[in-house]
Amino acid sequence: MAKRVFLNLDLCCGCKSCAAACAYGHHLQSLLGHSQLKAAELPLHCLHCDQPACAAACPNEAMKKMADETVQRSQYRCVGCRSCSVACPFGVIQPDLAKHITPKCDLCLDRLAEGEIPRCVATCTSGALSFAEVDEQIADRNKNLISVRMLANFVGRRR
Amino acid sequence: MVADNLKVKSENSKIRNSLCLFCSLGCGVSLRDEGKALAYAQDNPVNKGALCPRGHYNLELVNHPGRLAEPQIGKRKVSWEEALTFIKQELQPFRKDEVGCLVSCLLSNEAALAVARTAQALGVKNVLTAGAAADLEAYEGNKWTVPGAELASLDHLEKSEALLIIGDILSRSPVLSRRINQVKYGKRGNQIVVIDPNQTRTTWFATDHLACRPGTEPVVLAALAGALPAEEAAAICGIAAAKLEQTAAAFRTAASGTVIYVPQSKRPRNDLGVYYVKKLAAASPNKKYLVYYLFGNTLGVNTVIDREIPDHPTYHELLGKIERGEIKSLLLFGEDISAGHEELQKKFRMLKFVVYAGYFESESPAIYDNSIILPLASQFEGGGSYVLADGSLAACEPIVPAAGSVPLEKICGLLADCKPGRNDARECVGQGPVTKAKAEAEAEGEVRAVRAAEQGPVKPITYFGNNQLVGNFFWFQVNKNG
Amino acid sequence: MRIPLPKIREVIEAVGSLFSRPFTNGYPFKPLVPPDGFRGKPEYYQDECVGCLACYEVCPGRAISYEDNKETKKRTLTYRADLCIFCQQCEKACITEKGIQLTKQFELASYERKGVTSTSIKELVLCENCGEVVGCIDHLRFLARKVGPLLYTNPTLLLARHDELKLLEKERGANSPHPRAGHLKLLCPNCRREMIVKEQW
Repeated sequence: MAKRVFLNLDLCCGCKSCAAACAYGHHLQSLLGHSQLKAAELPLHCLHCDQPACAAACPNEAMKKMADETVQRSQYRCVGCRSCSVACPFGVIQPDLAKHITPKCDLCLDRLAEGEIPRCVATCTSGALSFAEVDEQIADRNKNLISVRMLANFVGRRR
Repeated sequence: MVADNLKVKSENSKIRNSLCLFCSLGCGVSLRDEGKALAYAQDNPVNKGALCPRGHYNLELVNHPGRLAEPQIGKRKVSWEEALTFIKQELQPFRKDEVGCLVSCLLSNEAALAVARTAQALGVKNVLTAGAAADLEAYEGNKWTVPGAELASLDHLEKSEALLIIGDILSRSPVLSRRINQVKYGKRGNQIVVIDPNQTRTTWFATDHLACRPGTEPVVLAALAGALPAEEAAAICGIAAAKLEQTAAAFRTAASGTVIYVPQSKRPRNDLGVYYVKKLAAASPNKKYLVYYLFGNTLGVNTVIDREIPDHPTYHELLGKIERGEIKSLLLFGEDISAGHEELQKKFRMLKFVVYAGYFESESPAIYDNSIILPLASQFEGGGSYVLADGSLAACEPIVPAAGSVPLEKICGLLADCKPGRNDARECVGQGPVTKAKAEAEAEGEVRAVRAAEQGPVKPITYFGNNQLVGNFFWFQVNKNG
Repeated sequence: MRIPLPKIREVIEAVGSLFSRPFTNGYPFKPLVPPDGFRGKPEYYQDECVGCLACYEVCPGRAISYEDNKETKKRTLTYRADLCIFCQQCEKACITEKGIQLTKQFELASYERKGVTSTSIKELVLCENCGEVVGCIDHLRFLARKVGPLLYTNPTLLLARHDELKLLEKERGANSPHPRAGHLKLLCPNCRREMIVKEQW
């Protein structure tokens, strides 16, 4: 099973350094959505679903489930119809377009190719974000992990 | 396929380690490919790979298109020789005590020493450090000696069972959150008490939040340290006396503890706060304290300047001298404190000659009639050693070749020839270093002064430092709450 | 070589053409039918257009503009012929493939610069939480049909589909006995993300 980014909400201090790192890696545009909850702003990543609704909604196959089990977006196929943004069950694809780009987390392809972890995880100040196997994280029930619950509730395990 | 191309590119890159100076925590920063990409120093013991949004600003410092590369007179670019002749010629008509000098707290110890030595050689005595006003105030308090008070190391902070945090530490140094989490989830019964009038990120993690009235943190600390009766303090700060006593007792009885003080510009009397923090740490065994400054090398630069030039004026004395026309020329090293500060700019307009050595072309020197701007090398081009909040010395080596900018040590060497001409200098009258007895007497008296100030009108807050630059750091609005 | 009697040959040609059929067509008096593949004025088809703004995004000449009116809940897409370069990008990008199509119409002269237009007016859906624009109702219905069973992952699409099938209760949300009825709302992506983080918190 592929690796994913997980967020531990108990540890997150809402410093938004993941967004800053993401912006530096992606042409000064952060691909993470932050939600304001009381004093903190919590990030939510693309979950790279097994059956992605964004890919099903896309008219031009710009959103695609790749062989490495991540959902990637082809910039040159995108026409900017916002279908993926509306169809995403988690609202992580931001609707506002910049330079005709619908921003979407790509798990930092360039860093993965070098065998490194994504930028947001590397720079997380509180240790709330982790990059781990999905099975490992699901087994670890003690931790209150947002992505695990969502994966279990909404998408279902792929077996 | 995209990934393959990137892989080829990355094989040629080298990673070199340096230091982030945007707070006094001193996180490691790695720069790749001669400063073209930012990596995270995974092996650094301070941040363990984490970096806050301000830390990412380091990259822009390295390859910002607006970085200075040549000396400028006003907007005109000139050679170094011409610039030095110009400075020599312009400094000639001033007496030695008509020249002032401001050193930024972002500079290294070596640079501060070079400035101090050069100032001595030139006979200039109006040398002052420039940082955040709250930081400088807190440093004043830090000078008052309290026997038994020790600076905590980060290891001690990790292992302590009680944390007392004054101010919003997670907005200033978010990288500390990993350690604060370790205290919170490490052992059952660990307590984190936060004293802050606001709901902030830090109070989010607190087991107990003491929401005092704004500006009364020193009073709360005095009550906790036992210098003020709890009932009196309760009347001022708005926290019940029983609560204060209970908190103080819990902190005293904990096996180990750390007090973290964050100087904030909206809070009056940061010096008193630091003084009581030190008293609190000294009162019970195995308790230590930490003060987190906004500018990386506040401790180092201040210590160097204090040691080398013991009778330097205070900030307000210096401003008064400028206003009265006693100081006619100013040497600004590191940053222009008047940028984005209209009152300061009005005062600085009275100066006849300004030498400004900085990273960027400041907005305000353009308005001075007679100013010269020298390109200054940052820590990435110049290197140097820095004293961090926990008192440790961190050295960083030059990692990027300088494109025209010059380290401050060299600039000072060049300036050593440019002596102010008229030699009838009067002696500046300094007050001398604060003694222990005097400090304690002052501090006890000050509690009453604070109380008196509660009823009177609140003083306007003077923020001493480059507000605009600091504002730019928080481009993700981390510092929304204060 | 010398042509004998040159003028007479031309006269015979002229007189003969008086009685033959004309080679040009009498365009202003008779309609001209352009050939297949002719790229004329693009035209919106109100029933097929879903108001997704793909045509607006891809238009290189900025000939297509849109305006959202939150009070009347209408989105107006406007095509202007004076800026159009007839590149057919809008037709290529149209997600329903029929919403905007190039016609064979080429008579685009008018007295006003903005005279020749084509518009499509679609009904907007506003976020029930923050009031921002989610999209057009036809766009949501189109997506709900397109993603198939995956629409059950997303309450926004589900509600759009149920609305179309007349399955929707009039009273929902606050008055519903179900404790999590608040989740069944038409939400913009930002509000949906916030709702999910809150739910997991």
